[in-house]
Amino acid sequence: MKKGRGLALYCAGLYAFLYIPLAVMTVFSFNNAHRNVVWLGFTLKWYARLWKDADLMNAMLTSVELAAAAAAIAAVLGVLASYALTRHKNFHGREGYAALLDAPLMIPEVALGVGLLSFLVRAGFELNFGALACAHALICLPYSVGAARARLKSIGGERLEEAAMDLGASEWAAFVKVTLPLLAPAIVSGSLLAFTVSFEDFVTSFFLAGIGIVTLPIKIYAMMKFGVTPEINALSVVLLAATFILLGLNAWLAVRTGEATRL
Amino acid sequence: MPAVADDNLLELGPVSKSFGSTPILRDVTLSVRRGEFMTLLGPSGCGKTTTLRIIAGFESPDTGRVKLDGADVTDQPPYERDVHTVFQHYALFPHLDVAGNIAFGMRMDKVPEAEIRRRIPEALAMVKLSGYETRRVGSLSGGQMQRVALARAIAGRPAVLLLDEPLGALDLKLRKEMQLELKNLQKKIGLAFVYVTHDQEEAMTMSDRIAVFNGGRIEQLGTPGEIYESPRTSFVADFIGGANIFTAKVLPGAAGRAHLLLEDEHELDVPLDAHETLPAPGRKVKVAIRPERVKVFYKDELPFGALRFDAVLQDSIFLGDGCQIYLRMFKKAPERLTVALAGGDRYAVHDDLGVPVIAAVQPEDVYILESDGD
Repeated sequence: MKKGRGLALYCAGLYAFLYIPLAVMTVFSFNNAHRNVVWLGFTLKWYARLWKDADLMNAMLTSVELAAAAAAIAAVLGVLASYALTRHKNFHGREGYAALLDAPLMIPEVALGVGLLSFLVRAGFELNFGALACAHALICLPYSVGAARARLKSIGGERLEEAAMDLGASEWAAFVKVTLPLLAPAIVSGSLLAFTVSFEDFVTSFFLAGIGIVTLPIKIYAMMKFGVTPEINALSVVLLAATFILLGLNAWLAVRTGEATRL
Repeated sequence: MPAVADDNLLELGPVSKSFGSTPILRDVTLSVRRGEFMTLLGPSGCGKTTTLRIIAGFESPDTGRVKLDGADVTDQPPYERDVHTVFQHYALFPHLDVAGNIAFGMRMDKVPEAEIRRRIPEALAMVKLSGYETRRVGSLSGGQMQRVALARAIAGRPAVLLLDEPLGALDLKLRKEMQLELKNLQKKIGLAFVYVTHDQEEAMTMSDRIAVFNGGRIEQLGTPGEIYESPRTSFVADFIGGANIFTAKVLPGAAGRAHLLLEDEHELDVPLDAHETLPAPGRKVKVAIRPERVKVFYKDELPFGALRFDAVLQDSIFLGDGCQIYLRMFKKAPERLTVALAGGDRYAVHDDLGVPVIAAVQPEDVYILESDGD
């Protein structure tokens, strides 16, 4: 019994460590004061002010559009790449290519940012929304590849495609009628993760945002220069809630299809 | 004989195939007649599944052609060939219900929807799953999935149905039931089946003809009766039904008969069957004797004309519906003779271990095997 209580205490400590800062932030977002020090009563005015801040809302919109574009690009590339990696057994250096696709997870984002920036400038690309979306797709790719690849392995897609072809489906028809529908949950869940990753990305956006593209994290950073205001707290709570909703959706999908795609 | 050739629906051969430097099939020639139940039988790795995949179009032969209904289909992809496969692990589409699975092939073949709707219950009735149209594939038992796989394959009315160890994943009792059902279904719809299995009993029960594969070749092709009654090689004799295989020296003898000396110096004088050939006197030959064709006697009461082997009872195994006993023949160099006794014959043999007995075999039950077959 004593041992059990010790473990419970440890777990409580761990979760407290993880979530107390978020809880404090959440509480102070409702604080009727300009500084995060003393509690002066409950208010929703910081949230109301967020809503009215046109610059902030624009940044939010930009981030959503960017994340959607990046997730979509990553989804298409991810399905194609994972298909090649699971289906073609004999191509040389397969595991190496797979590792290279996962590499953006490990490469320091600063290095990636510097690399992308110097490449795009040298190559004469304009630093616009499209370029940024492609860069975000790059950091999202490991998530969509991972999700699709795990699913392809677990459904034994090869056997099912053979069965489809045996029944008269061309290779393309077998892919569209059998593999793609079975892959759909993994595409959705991979895209949700990719969306989250892009939405909260700061470093890559910071390097590449160029002129006029202000994503939400960049906007928050700019606001922080004047100190952590309750408004920023409120904004962070909104982002937190959005992230939890996305993760919850992902978990729900995982339960439904019996498979999990993990970060 | 053109009449026979016309009757061949599927012709294969002589097909060879290697994976890398490993030869898988060597000069396999096979023809399947309309409405025939042809079984490709052999141990794992013998090439039977590769042969099936070549017929289906999933593998292409290095040499040799595949002809279906007179047309060369060797270079056609699987989806253009009029053959469907029942896979060992069913390969049902998990995102479709039972009806959706059965309709899949017909939709691909652009069969009109009205016709598809008519044929789905028909196919389900054939596999005794009427009313299962809207069931999800994941909710079915192994036996039911196998039936759906079968219904899916026959609903599109292929010219030939290929079955890749379709009962391999089922338990023994269900397998026996399905063997009979499959055979009856095949007779009823008159469809040619090419059936792959490693289970010799299954092959015996169901087939019109059996092609026995070994090491990438067909060792023997014939009806179950022919293969059992006159195995050509020691592999076939041993793989189908089991056999005592002895090496013997050929002695000079009368025409149409074989005069042989076993290594333990028992002498045999047996008639030669029409297909059996004998090497020159002095050469070695292999002979086979089926365990169930050996009779055992405790005193000298040999049936008329039988060959006599002097032996002692060495061991016995109780098998439930009978037993198997091992005799040590003791003329000179001891050789072992396995005897199968049917139920009721004699169970209490273990009390008699070490007792001298006389084993009797009728001369026509000694098969002379081809010298190259090992």
